[in-house]
Amino acid sequence: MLLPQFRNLVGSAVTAGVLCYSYLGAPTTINLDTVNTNIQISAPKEIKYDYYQIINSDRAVMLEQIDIIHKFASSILDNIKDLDPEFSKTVDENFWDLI
Amino acid sequence: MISFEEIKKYLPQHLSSTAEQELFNELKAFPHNIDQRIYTAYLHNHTNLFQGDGIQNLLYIHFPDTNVGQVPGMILSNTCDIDQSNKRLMPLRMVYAPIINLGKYEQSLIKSHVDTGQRSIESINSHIADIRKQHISHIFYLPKGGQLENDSIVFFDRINNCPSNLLDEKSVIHQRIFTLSDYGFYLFLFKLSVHFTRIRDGVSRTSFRSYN
Repeated sequence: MLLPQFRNLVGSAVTAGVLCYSYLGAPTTINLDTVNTNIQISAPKEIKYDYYQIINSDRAVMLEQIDIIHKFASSILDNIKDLDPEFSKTVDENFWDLI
Repeated sequence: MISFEEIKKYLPQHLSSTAEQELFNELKAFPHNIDQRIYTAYLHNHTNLFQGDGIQNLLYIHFPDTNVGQVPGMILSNTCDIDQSNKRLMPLRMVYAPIINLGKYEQSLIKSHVDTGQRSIESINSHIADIRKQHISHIFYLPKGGQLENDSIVFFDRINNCPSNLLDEKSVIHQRIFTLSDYGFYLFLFKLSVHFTRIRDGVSRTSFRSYN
């Protein structure tokens, strides 16, 4: 029995088979009121070289290091104070006793 | 916009990945780790002098008094500049500042300001707390640790100098009090830089051309 002779039957069977799973590709209704538009969509991990990969792990570490240095520097600079001149004078007058 | 390659130049580059991670862990924990972690024992028996080292018995003159005494001092010179293996046409001298006992400094302030009624004890306590938090711009706080027996301070504005080869290799090991860790050294260089190179001094430095 040759397949071409029963193409209508075969075609119907295939269509029926595909239609069983057609719901998988159907569009879903999204309620926009509940969508958080601030969520950043990331690329699938298997895609290595698209524009999402501009920040790779080395650069992410570098950015974190810069952030740490910035916070370290700020914690000193934001609180920096000069010495009271009167205290400096006390050091002058008692220098050798302070060693 | 600054590139990542450019940014990389401003991050520590000479460290192993473990040491780099350790450094950033400490910088992240600052200021809750101003303690023995600023020192390392790793280089204690090294014959080279390192920037930031504490050294016993350095000669010192406290001008205008011209008497010469001996003090424990902290090396401010760059390590390369005082390395004896670097042969130079004109050898650089070593600059250092005296290490002062914080407890004695505190008692001195109390005696001269609190006992005379000029200041409250709270103001002195607050000042000492600021020193311990590294908040005073030209004072570097050295917590007790290693062979440094007392909490101490270094004034960046009380510097002397001597020939770099005044100490031989044996003397360096014998007289060394401490060497700073990567974290301690970073903190030290940061404060040293702020003290000597901060730009915002409020002085207009108009060039000759502008007003002639």
